[in-house]
Amino acid sequence: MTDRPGFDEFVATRSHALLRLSYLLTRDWATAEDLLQTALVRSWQAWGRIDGDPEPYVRTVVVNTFTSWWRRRWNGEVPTAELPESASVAAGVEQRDLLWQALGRLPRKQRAVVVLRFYEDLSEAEIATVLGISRGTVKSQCSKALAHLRVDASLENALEGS
Amino acid sequence: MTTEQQLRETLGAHVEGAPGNSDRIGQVRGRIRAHRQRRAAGTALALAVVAAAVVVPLTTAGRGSATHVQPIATPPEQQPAGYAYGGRAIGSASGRSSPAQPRVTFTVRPTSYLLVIATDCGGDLSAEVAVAVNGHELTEGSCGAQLGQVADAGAARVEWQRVIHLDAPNTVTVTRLSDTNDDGHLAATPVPTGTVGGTVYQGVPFTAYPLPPDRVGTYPFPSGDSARTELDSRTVGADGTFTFSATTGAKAGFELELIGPGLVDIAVDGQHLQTYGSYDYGTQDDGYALSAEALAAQYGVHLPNGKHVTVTVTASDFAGPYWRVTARTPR
Repeated sequence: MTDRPGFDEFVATRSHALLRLSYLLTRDWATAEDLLQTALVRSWQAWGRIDGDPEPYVRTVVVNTFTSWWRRRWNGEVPTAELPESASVAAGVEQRDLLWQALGRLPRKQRAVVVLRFYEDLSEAEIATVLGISRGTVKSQCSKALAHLRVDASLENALEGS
Repeated sequence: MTTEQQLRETLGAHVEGAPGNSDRIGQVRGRIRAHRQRRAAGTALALAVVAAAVVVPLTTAGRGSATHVQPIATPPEQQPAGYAYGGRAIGSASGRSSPAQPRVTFTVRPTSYLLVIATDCGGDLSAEVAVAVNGHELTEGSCGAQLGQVADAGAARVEWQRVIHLDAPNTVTVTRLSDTNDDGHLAATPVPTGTVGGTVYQGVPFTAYPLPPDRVGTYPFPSGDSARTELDSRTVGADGTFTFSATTGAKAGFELELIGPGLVDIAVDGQHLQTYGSYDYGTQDDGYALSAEALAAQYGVHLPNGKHVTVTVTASDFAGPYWRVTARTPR
């Protein structure tokens, strides 16, 4: 197997952080590990063509693999367009859990935008680059996601100001 | 109304204590080797499939009770024409793709939802395709992949029921898309000239499925991790029912590895999760999360986190070198 200088070290030192990103996207540790390894294999194939820090590249592969992923599993989530009304949600469940459940109901690309913005702290332009979409689409996808999550509208301003 | 701080806290809280994996590089290296082998084998398989131009007549009723299979990791080897993935082909098409004609279309008449839709682009695993049935796009992704399983259909059943009509003609369309760049983006280029094809397989009973030639003995039993709970066919026999205990939670789960053929049923506290099937001698593995969220979303099983549960594994008709279940315990 042809070696790729730095690949093993990258996996050893940085893949754990990427596993957390994968988990926020897939919401299941086993699936996250699977997604991460799938992305690492794809990155290995292109390793020699990556300039500079490989982490942004691998992160991009993780996210794009997730948003178009169907190869290994098709037995999980079925995103729904609408959330139940707040009043009908089981009473007594903590806000954080409700929000986590709501994140899981977002369409994949919207979930990716939210995670990249509010976990990875990427700017609108950086998210556009990662997902290969326009800044306007990032903005609209984030707006829709936040509306589904019933997040304070001021968050949208935070995104625009980034 | 949720605040930005709550959103950030929610994301941060859920990744605390991520499970470690000291052998990730070894597992990735293994996948790279497997990828290369599949690529080589896929090219040969594609040539055979195109040459055979497999189009099997429509099935008749009576196969609805057929059990399972899972999308398998390697192309079927030396399989009788028209059989793969635990099923029998009920429709197929393959042709040249071009910017002017990027798709193939064919008709199937399934009698159950135990289905696999397999795509093939002449062994080109980097090709991207979209799959649609009766005008409903099901997904898009890498060509060479399979959609669905002939096991117990799982969550795919919901999608099948939405778009597929049993005992009636269904139109399947496989459309080749523009290639992707290295980072997974679809390139802004025309659909390349090449091959595009698809086959729909419907599950048949395990005992009626023509297995490929026996290759038992070509694989050594893998080394284990004695610190983790393991059940395997070497210590408990090929067939039978075996159990272990676990506590549901975010980090709880287990892995199933096997080299078939054979069937493995999995249940938690008596509630069926999945039947995993292998119909060849390729290596297969899958992970099962035992969190309340994953059990509910993936299997419709509702159990709270923190509950002590019994996981039941039942192997049957197992004729492969081994199967093994490894419980993942929080560290």
